[in-house]
Amino acid sequence: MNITHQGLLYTLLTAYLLFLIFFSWRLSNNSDNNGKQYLFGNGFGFFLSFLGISASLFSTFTLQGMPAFFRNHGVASWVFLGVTDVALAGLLLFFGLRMRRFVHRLATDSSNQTSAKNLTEWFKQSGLSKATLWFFITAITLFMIPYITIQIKGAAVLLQSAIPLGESQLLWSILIVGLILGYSWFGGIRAIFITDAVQGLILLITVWVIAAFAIQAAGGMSALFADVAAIKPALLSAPGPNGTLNWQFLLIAFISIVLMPYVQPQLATRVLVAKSDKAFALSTVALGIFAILVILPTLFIGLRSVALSSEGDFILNLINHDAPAFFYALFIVGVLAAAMSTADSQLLAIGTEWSSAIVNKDIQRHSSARLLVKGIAIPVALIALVLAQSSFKSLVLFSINSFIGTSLLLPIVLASVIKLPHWRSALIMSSWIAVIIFVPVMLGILPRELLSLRVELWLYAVLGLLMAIAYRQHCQYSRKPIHNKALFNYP
Amino acid sequence: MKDQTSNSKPTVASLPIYFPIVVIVLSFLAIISTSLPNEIQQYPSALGFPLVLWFWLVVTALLAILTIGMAWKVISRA
Repeated sequence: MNITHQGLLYTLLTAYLLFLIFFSWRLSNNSDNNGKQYLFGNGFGFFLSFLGISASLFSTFTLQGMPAFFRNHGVASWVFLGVTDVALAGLLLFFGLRMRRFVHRLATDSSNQTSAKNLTEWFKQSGLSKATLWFFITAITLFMIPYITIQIKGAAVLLQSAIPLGESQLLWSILIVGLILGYSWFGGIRAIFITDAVQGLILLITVWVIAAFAIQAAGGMSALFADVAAIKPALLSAPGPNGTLNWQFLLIAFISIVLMPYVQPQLATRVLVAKSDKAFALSTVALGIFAILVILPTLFIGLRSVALSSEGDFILNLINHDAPAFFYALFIVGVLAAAMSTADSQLLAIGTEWSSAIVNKDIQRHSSARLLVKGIAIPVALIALVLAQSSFKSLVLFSINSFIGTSLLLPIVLASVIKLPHWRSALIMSSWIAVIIFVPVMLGILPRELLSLRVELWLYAVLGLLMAIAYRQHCQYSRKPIHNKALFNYP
Repeated sequence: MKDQTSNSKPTVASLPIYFPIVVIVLSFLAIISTSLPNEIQQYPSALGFPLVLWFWLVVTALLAILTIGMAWKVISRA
């Protein structure tokens, strides 16, 4: 790294940190410990709903992992990333509206003054047992920790390569975790909005500028693809050079990713707290368009890097080779902002779910909500910090598996909708069994395939069938024709 | 402070059931197309893109257009 790169990086990092300190100070001046203000705000309009959902979805993985995916596995990564994320937005519009309506009716029918703003409050209002609540929260936390870990690790490794602090990335990891905890302590959800906004802006600018320089340096779009065809033609079709992107992998990834907003607390909360259906609908459209705009340039960046040196960090190599020094610094600050915005919203969401389960009353009305949430977020962050010092490769694998793990909890969400006790129990039990089977498969203790089909697909097939039958029974119980009923209707 | 989210009535009855079905069918078509022979997938087309990439981009655009159309229904009813 030359002096220009280093000078620009120090300047941008300092500017970003000053920006965070300024907002921390401003938010601390008018902060309160009220749970609703601190955890959920006053209901989000279109812009904040969109920012919140997209910033939770797009993380350091967008800037570092997506180009790497295209570089290693080829154009079929578009199905895994582009098609799946836009489908997520479409399905979220349909099912998210039903989630919102269900939660609203639940509050009305149970004479609660306020609708549930998170999954635990929802489950409490719908009468799920304590044991189910604890199982859900424990499983979600265990599956989400690797994802928080990878945010810390991704940013720390990159910062360590740019500005070394000691022998390993430990100091950078500690600094990042400290920054996340300290910063979000003061402002709660409002502080997270700011990192979300910064991340979104930097993300969009950085990926498009780097992609534009990459295409130009390659000699145009056709030349870029011609280079790839000459060097590694297998990248231009599925399943890619390593055979990873086969239909089974893509189908598992599709199911686990589109189910994220209904089972992962940081996303479910954003669906529930949108100010109105109109704001929510607009945010899902913006999410779909944002996904295309963010993922498309990473395709060009990843494919361009195939023709460049494979030593060191390939994106930094590409930026050094093709783009002005300013974008080198912007990329690193962008990764830090992305890591912060994803990790802080996940920590807040996990802390909120645990706090909701611990206190009997609604967490929104609890006077010590901030203390409770942070009391839980700190140990979770420390576990992630310790894990961030382990092997990077295993963590990438673990974080992909964590999405699959969380998706296996969907039957519990459906159980909270269904009032038939035996079907409710069957759904909850099926989720337990699916997780108990999946964990040893994930750890390699049980075989990955059964009759040439991935175990995850078997689990999805059985759970899907069970949920369809349970929902049909629920509809018959409600004595309304299925085609006229909205999904998740409350009897 | 008034709880705006809990007091605001949901404005939408329901979106048509064909909407999520079309989204899932289009996505499955994209997934199934990855099993096509390599010669077909890699067949060069406009801008040097392999043919299959254009197909996936068209599927993605259709998904986005469909979502915009459905969101418009929600917004116009609100």
